[in-house]
Amino acid sequence: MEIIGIIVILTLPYMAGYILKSIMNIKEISQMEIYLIGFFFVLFLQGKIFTTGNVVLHKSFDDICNGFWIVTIIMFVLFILALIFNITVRLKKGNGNTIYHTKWSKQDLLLLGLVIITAAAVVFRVLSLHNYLRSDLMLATVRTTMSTRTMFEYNHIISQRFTLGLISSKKIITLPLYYAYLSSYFGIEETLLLYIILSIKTIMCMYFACMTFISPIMKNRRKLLIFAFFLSTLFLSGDYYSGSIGTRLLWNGYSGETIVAAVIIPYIMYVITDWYRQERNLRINTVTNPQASDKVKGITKGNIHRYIVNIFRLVLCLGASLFITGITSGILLVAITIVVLGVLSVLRFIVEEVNE
Amino acid sequence: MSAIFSTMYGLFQDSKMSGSYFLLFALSIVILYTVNGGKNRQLSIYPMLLLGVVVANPITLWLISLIFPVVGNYEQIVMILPIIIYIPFGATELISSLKNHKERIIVSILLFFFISICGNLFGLFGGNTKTWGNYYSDEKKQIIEEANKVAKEGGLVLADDEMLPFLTSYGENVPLLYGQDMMMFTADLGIMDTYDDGIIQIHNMMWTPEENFDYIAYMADIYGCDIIIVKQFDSAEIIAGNYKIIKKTPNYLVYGR
Repeated sequence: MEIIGIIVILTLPYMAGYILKSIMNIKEISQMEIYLIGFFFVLFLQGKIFTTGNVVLHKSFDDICNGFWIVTIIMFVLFILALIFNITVRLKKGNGNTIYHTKWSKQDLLLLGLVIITAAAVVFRVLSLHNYLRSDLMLATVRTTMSTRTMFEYNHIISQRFTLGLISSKKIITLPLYYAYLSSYFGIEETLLLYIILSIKTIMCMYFACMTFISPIMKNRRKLLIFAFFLSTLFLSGDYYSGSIGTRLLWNGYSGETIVAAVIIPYIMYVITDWYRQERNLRINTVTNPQASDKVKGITKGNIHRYIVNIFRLVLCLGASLFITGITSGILLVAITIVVLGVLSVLRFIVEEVNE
Repeated sequence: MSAIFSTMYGLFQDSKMSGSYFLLFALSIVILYTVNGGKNRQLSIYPMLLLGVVVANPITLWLISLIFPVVGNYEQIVMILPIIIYIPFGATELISSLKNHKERIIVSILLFFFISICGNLFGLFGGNTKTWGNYYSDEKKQIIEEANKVAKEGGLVLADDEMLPFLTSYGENVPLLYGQDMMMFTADLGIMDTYDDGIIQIHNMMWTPEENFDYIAYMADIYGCDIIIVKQFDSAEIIAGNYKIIKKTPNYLVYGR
């Protein structure tokens, strides 16, 4: 059961992302992005909607564990159906990025080897820190929830029943509860789940988010490999002080703030820059092909679909950050990123349009 | 406003002392702005804007603090800077701007060492988290086993700040007189229960057991604590008040009733 649990925890985001990709008919999407949108969706659906719903309905902890399993099975079935459907109508056109179709040179292979070694070293560092205590209360909350089989009835800090209770806004942040039922249902030991499995999963998602952001900018395999190498180097030596993302990723990969800083923010940067690129390419097309301008401007099926997909990606990020950090710093950081980068992209777009 | 500014200044001092990644970040922005014919100039504007408008701007932070408690979370605000992307991005662009193959290799190696030395490669340069105090040693496991026995019988445990995180994380639902929230003054844990003055006094005295242990034992008895976990101290006696030593390890003493 433990092995099945680890497999489910690591693969469920991809399944969820694949379902979303199929439902929303997103064509130009990489495998890494599929995993990322699935990762956010699983946090949002299983963590936020499902768990909060059960908390509001005063369901028991065991009820949540059983319901969680049903949600997982439904997602698995939907994934299989989407997979069968997509195999039959396999997309002939790739994502337009030709770097993956060129031949690997010896230097590229050498660089790939270096990237694998440094990435493995990052994972090794996480494993080597297993017996060191993290300075947060996530593990304590998970263990108290599991041992008492209750939700928000025990003060996890002193393991005694609340006299006055917990403020309502804290009950909305259900990330420890979500981890508790992952651990409880699959029988995975809490420190193994938090300190190793979830930390490694966050590191993997961080790589995916950063590579997703940088791929369309670099458009060159060798440069991407160099980037990945230095990214790993940064994390191998990033724990130089307690507040750095490197420290958080190595020591607190499972915490909400780490996921926001290392995964959600880079992905939002990608979404906004990608949206800007889509709009710019569209404008260039209308300039070079005036006959097509009527078709691409205004309310068309393609435009609506593009807006829906981009807004959906942003909402997913906001939803996931709302779940994992509540209405506090996480959502604030996400909102600031969207506003600053959004305004910058719009201004850039307008300036370019005026210049043309 | 002044509080925000002093927090920002403090953070800058900290980062200067324990790492130079802000410097690398600034350097990477300059590199992106200048190399490869300014191809990535637009992308280098974003972090500068973020730094100037949000992170290093006390006015913006003061405005945000009207809604969110940003001063206590300034470290988190700094996390908005895309340091993790821009340093490798700058390094990659710098290397790819070089035409000579040998130059590329030399610069790559230099950058690898530069990033490593600025940070804490493999934790070789210490760091403030991988410490003996944070290590879940066999000694601590023994102490927690003792606390677990008491917890199974519904007892109450008094422990010092060093052992508290281990008791809450690894203990089997060990009821404690007070928890880590006693030392987390800025954290908003959302718990409405508060401690009375007597408990706060015990907590403060646990820092210097050699001076106060008799009084700690007296107070712990009043509050109904079944065991007291305290760091070893020279003047420790076998019996203190209604408590006697039931477990002794190289660094800790466990007193039981």
